[in-house]
Amino acid sequence: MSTTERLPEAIVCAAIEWQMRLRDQGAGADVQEQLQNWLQRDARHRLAWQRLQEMGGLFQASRLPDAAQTIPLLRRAEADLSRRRALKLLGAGLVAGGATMLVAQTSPTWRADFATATGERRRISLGAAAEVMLNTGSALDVEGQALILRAGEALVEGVHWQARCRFATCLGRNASVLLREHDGYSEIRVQRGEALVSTAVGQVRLRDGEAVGVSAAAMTPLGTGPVDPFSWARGLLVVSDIRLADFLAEAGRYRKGWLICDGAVAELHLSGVFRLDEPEAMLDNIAHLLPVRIVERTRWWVRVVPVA
Amino acid sequence: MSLPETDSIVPLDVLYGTHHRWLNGWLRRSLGCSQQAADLAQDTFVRLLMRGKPISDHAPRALLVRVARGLVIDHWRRDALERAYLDALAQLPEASYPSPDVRHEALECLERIAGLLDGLKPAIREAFLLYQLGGLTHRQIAEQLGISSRTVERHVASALLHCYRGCFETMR
Repeated sequence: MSTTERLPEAIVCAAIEWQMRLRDQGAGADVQEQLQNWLQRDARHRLAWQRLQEMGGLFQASRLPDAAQTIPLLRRAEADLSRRRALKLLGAGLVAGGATMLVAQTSPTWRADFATATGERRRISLGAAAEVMLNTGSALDVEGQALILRAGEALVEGVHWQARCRFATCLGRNASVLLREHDGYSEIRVQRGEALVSTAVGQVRLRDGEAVGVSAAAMTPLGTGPVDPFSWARGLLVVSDIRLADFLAEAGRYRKGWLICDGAVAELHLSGVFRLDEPEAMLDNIAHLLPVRIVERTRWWVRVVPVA
Repeated sequence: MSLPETDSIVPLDVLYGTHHRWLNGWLRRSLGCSQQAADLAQDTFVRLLMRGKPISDHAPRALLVRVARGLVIDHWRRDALERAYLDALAQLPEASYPSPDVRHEALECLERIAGLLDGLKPAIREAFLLYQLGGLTHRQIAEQLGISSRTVERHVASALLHCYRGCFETMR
């Protein structure tokens, strides 16, 4: 009997019915006996039965988290996947159209979520008015002419656009502006041009290189930190004299899983240019630059510790 | 599979030479990441090679896209599960994190299950999850979902058949 033998559907369905009956009515002596008779009757019945048991094993694997965790987890992942599938259909449309399609012109009320996974970046063209580069782990809605950053970070560029983030609305004219959601505040940073930022606590006009942090209660000018804020859009992480702990926190945005910095090496400093498409190489580089060792339990559980 | 006479067969290396760049571009636009695009373009050709069926020169790009799209969806599924799993773990106190090996295997199981359930209608899928993983009876599921017991039975049976086919009747 070959293990790849294709069984008639009627037999498979009968086996399924037996299995459900057994589970729902319990294995009473009479049910057991009838099942045994059915199994005796045909080798294909036995094969179908055996395959169903094998399949059931998949769902009982001891390595699975318990059902209370697994069910919501599968639901969530499925919702996530169907959202991306819907987006992909759009992607297929773009390809069919040849050049980049002007989405906004298809329908004025057109609306969609754009999202990126960890480590993913995505360029979204919104017609002649604006183009958006979405950084890792980000989500963006488009409502009519307005862009709404729901999470993460986006670089918006164009002749005329409006973008909202958690604590501010930003109007750009011939401007390229970065919006990034932090814990508790939104960062708005002008790369080029001029932008009008409106918040609950007032308005401000920003020019090249200027930035503000806006929370529910305050708006504060921001300087430049050790990370080049715009380099990700070119696929690079550019840092100068950054604490290792801060570097790993930033690099960790582009990588799945946990990237943990041992306290003993947190205060080491480094400078460099790293390619975001090669997060693993980034870690190897650190081990060359600094007296640290990368302890990789799995590819998503990594600790940076002192060289022994 | 017999091919219509007007079609001729393309050797895989010719297909690769002619369309690899194009496929790579297509994937890059879908994924927004050139590294993943390059990996999946490669995987697409490997998949065709392993399939070992002749490839007609009629619409080879449609075939490439069909295979590549399946791989993209597998990739996204893995990604979605990984994130959902990491989030679930993040709720746990650190002392009760499963070991890395257990986590790795758990993810593989989840991936296998999610792959099998792929294509089920949401109502059927939900009833099946409660039955198979939650261990609820038809009646309990019926109450929870507000549908009849009979419907639950039908849903579960059709989900089991769907999974059976996925396990034993498709060559992936």
